[in-house]
Amino acid sequence: MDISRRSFLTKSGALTCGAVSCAVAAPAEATGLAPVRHGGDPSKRYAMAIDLRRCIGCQACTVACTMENQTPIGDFRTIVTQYDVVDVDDETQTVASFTLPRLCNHCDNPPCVPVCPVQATFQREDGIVVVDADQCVGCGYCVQACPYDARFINPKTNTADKCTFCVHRVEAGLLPACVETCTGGARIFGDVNDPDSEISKVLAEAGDAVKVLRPEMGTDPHVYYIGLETAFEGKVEGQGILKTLQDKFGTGNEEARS
Amino acid sequence: MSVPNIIETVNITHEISWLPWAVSYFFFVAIAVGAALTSLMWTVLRRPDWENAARIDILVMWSAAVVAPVALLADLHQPARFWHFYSSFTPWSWMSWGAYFLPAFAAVSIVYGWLVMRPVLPRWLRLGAGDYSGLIKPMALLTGLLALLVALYTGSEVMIVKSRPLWNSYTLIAFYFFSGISASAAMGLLVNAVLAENGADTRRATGAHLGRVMAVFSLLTLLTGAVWLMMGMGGGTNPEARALAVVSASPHWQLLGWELLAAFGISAIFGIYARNLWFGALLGLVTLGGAWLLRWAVFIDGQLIPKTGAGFYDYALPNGPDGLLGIVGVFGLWLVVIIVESVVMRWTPETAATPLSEIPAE
Repeated sequence: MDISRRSFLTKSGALTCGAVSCAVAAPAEATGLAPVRHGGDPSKRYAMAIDLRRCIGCQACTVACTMENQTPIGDFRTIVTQYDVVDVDDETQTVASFTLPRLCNHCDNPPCVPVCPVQATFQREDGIVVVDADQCVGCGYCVQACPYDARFINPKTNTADKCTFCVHRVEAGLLPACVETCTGGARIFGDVNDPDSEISKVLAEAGDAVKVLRPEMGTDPHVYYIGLETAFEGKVEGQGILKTLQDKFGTGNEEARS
Repeated sequence: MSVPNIIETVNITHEISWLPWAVSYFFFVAIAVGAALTSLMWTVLRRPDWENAARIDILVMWSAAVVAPVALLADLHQPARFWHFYSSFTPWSWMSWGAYFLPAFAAVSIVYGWLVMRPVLPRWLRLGAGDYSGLIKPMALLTGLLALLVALYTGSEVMIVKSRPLWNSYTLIAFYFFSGISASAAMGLLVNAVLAENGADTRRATGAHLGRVMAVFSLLTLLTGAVWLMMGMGGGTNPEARALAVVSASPHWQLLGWELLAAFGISAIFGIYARNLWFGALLGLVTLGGAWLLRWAVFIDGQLIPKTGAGFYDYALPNGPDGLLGIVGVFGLWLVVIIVESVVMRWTPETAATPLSEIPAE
């Protein structure tokens, strides 16, 4: 009995050592207690400014992004959400429309990065948050952690997907596809570390009018909005379009959509 | 209905990324944890009145500990890459720790159960004639420790998600823990009702015992709900208040709330009558339904709350593996495991009536 117990303990000890050595063989960035930025130019900090006064809700950015990044049907890295706004106390007022382009905010404190259990999603030194699709296990934890619903699981690759500021274009000296195509010139992209860049000038000129989405989350987003109404900063307290259709047409969603 | 002053006219439905597989995982793993911990009352604390319930706890623990990791693996959209968890240990992510805690718990709990149940296992499964009964207590303590770590990580990995106020509450850890123990006793009641070899008296006594455990932990689940509600109704910007503000006006969420209250309320009030086997099994089903619904509400309905947009996202349960078929498959696997366990076990009226330590070898 003693021999078999000793043998059992020896074998379980060997198994434990094996597991530990697997853990030790983890990538270099795992040696700290927080994720480390890697890749990209550390002298730069890319960001986007969106001047909502110039956005006409044409969805050219949505289409350009879809064409550039080949996202599957129904999934979007950016979309322009739109709202009808009425003042219920003023019946004479006409309905106003509000357009709000949404995308990954490339936060300085991105909640999606530390939750990733395999370090597939990380932040580059230039601030761009990316996903290593070869490393991603598709657990969807980052999708949950993002406060902006900016991530999704791509059904073609079965990995996490999101806006990358078109990093492949930026590295080739081009602008992100959505910026390139923006009809009203509402989207301005550039390096906020460079005081002479267009984005730095636009942000400086706008001053206190510059706002971000969900500032209370403490994520320090790097997509800045000019002309953002307070009611749209966080979760919009209003009626969803689907609910409106259901109320109007009564029955199931499929019917309401058709 | 008052006319809203904002109507969202263009947005998309954000697909859920934690599928019903996640509900199955959190359901079964909480049951395995609950069964492992309650079995310690006999294997560690040696309370003789817990022995028969502990035998059933171990059957439940085994079955749930086998099913849970399968469901979790299926929730990965790239299940074949599970080894990335081990090649890239990430100490700042709860899920990364879970990748170690869960298999350790599943493996150790199976060994622990084997040590306890060895006297009623067939000869070929006893692996020799040696006396390993001295290992029961240390393995029981190790299983208990790992069970607590699994409970901690499963609760924490959801609780830390600040972007979802419904998840970002400390009460969530208590919800999962208490309802998991209650559900483990509930599953025990189902098993107890069909273990005919145990004899009517033993089964009634065991049923009464499991019923009490179920009632107490269903009550604790309800009390956790009351705490959550009070924190939510207190107003302010705490996650509970923000979550309640979103869900309280929704008829769907109101119904979910009443259903959970009914399930755990019935379980807490009538649990003491589980001496009647079939009534006990019925109560078990109601409680299991409550524990399932709690996780369904948190995960599936919770993911339908937009983080920025208006209203709620749309969801229809698919029929395939990521929906109904997956759920049926998981419960089918559980049924197979529990049947195999009961078939393999030398469960006779004699062995059922004799303390495990006094059962002679075949």
